[in-house]
Amino acid sequence: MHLEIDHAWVLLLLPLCLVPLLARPNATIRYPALMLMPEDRVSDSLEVALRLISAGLIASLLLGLSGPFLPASQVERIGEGAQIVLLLDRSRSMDQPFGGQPFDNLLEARNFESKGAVARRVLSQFVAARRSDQYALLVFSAQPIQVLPLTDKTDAIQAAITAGNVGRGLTDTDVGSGIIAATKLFDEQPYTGSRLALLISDGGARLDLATREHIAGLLQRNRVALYWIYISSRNSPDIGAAAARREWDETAPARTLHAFFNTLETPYRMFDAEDPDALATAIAEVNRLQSLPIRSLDLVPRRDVARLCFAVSLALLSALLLVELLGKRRWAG
Amino acid sequence: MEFRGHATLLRAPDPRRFDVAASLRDPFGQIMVRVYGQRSAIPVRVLADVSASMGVEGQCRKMDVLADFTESLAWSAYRNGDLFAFAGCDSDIRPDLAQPLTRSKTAGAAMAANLRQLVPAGRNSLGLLQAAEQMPAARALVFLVSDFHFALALLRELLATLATHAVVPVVLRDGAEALAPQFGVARIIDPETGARRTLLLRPSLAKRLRKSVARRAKILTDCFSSFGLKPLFLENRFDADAVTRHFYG
Repeated sequence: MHLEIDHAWVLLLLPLCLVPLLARPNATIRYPALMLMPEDRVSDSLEVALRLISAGLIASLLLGLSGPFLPASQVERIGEGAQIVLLLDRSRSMDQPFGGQPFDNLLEARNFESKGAVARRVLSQFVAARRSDQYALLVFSAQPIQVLPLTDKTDAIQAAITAGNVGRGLTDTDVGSGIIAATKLFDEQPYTGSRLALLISDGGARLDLATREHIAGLLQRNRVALYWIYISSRNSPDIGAAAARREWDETAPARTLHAFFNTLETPYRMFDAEDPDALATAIAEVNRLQSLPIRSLDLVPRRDVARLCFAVSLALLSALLLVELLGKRRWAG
Repeated sequence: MEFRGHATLLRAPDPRRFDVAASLRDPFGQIMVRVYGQRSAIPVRVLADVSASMGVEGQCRKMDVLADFTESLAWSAYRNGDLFAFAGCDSDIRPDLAQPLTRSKTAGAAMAANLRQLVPAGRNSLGLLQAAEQMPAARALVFLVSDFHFALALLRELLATLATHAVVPVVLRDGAEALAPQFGVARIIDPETGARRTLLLRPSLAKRLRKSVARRAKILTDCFSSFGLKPLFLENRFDADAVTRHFYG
C-alpha cells in the first residue's frame, strides 16, 4: 500500500515551512530592557514549540491540498460458504396481507403486514444468520432486475433488502424469467461452492412448457439448488396437500409451481413462512450444503488521506489559536 | 549675601543678625534673627538619556518625569541665580535637546515642553559619554538622568569621565517594569536592541522578574557608591520632596 498524490506541484511550496522557523517572532509589547528579564527555559521551549507548530501547520495544509490518497486496490479474499441468489418477488400480489396472521374480516386489508414486508423480514433474518455466504439480490415482477451482483458484503445486501421496501409492486409476476435470470448469474463462473437460488414469492404465476424446460436445463447445467420460501396469501389453500390434484389448478397457481419444482432433478426444497420454524429449517438446510472456499477479488476503494492532513492542521491551528487567545496586548500586571 | 528668611536665635546663634521687628511679630515671643545665604554660583547641568527605553510607557511616561524634573531644576537654578544647561543624548548628542549654560527664566519650561513631545528612538545611550567628554572642566553640579538600562561598563566609564564634577545620578524607574502579568503569553521586544522574546507568563516568572529588577537596582547603587555617589531613585513620578531629602536628608 503506497501513498499517491493528485497535485504534486503543491509540494513545491513545502519550503514555505521554513518561514516560521526562520522568521523573527512578531512582538506586540515593548519592554524597556530585555536584560532585566530572567532566563526562562519554559518560555524558550514555548517559542520553539510555536515555531515547530507553525511549520507543521503549513506542511500539513500543503500535504492536504496536494490531495494524497491510498489508491484503489484489488484484494483477494477467500470466503467460505454458499453462493446464494436471493430472488425476491416484487409483484402487486406481494402487497396483499400475509396469510399467516389472524383476521376477522376477509375483505379487511388495512393494518395487516403485507407479504412483501414478511418476505423482506425473513430475507434479512436469513442473511443476518449466514454472514459468510456470498449473496446476490434480484427482484422481479414482469422483468427481473439485478440489484446486487454476487458479493460477500452483507451490509450492502441488508441495505438493498431494506431499500426495496418502498411503494407498490407491478401487476405481473413472471417467476420463470426471474429464476432464469438468477440461474444465469452463475453462467461462466467457476464452481466454488454450493449454488442456491432462494426464491421468495407467493407463487402467483404459471409457467409454460418451454419455460419449464428452460429452467430445468439451466438449473442442472449450472448445478443450482432451488429453495422456495413460500409466503402464503390469506385464505390460500395448503400448498403441500395438493400434489395429487389436477395439474392446472386455477385456484392455486402456487400448487402448480410447487408440483413443477418437485419434478426437477436438481435439489428443491420449499419452506412455508407461516411455519415459525421454517426459517431455522432453511438456514440449517443451507448449513448442510457442501461449501468450498470461495476465491474472489475484492476492490478496496481509493482512500482519501487529505482528511487526516486537514484534521492535523485543525489541531495545530487550534493550539496556535489558544496561544493567540492567551496572548497579552499590554504589559499590565 | 542674600536674605533667606528668619530663624530663632537658638537655631541660628548669631546675635549680630538680631531682627527687632521680627521678634516683636513672633506670637511666641522668641528672639528672631535674620539668616543670609552665601551666594556661590555653580553651573547646574542636566545630562539626560533619551534613548528608546525611556519612551516605553508603563505606569508612567519616563519622558514626563524627566520633563517635570528638568523644569523644576531649571526654575530652582534661575531662582538661585545659577547657570543652567541641558544635554539630551541617545546614540549621539541631540542638537535639538541641547541647551548651553543660560540664566534664562524660561529655558527649563521650553526644554520640558520639548521633552514631553519627544518620541525617543535612539538605539543606545552612547551619546551620554560624548556629552560628558565634551563638558568643560569647570566644576558643575551634574544631574545624570536616565533609566540606566545600559551596560555597567558604559556607566563606569561615564562616571569616571564625570569625576571632576559633583554628580547626582537620578534613576528613573517605571513600576511596571517589575510587574509581569501573572498569566498569559507575551511577545516582547526591546526597543533599543530590537531583540525579541516570547514569554509564558506565570507567577514564578513574575516573581523572578521582581527579584531581577531589585537586583539591578542593587547593582546600580553599588556601582554609584564605588564612585562615592548616592543615587536618587524617582519611581513613576517626579517627587520634589524626594529630591530635597536627597540633598538635606
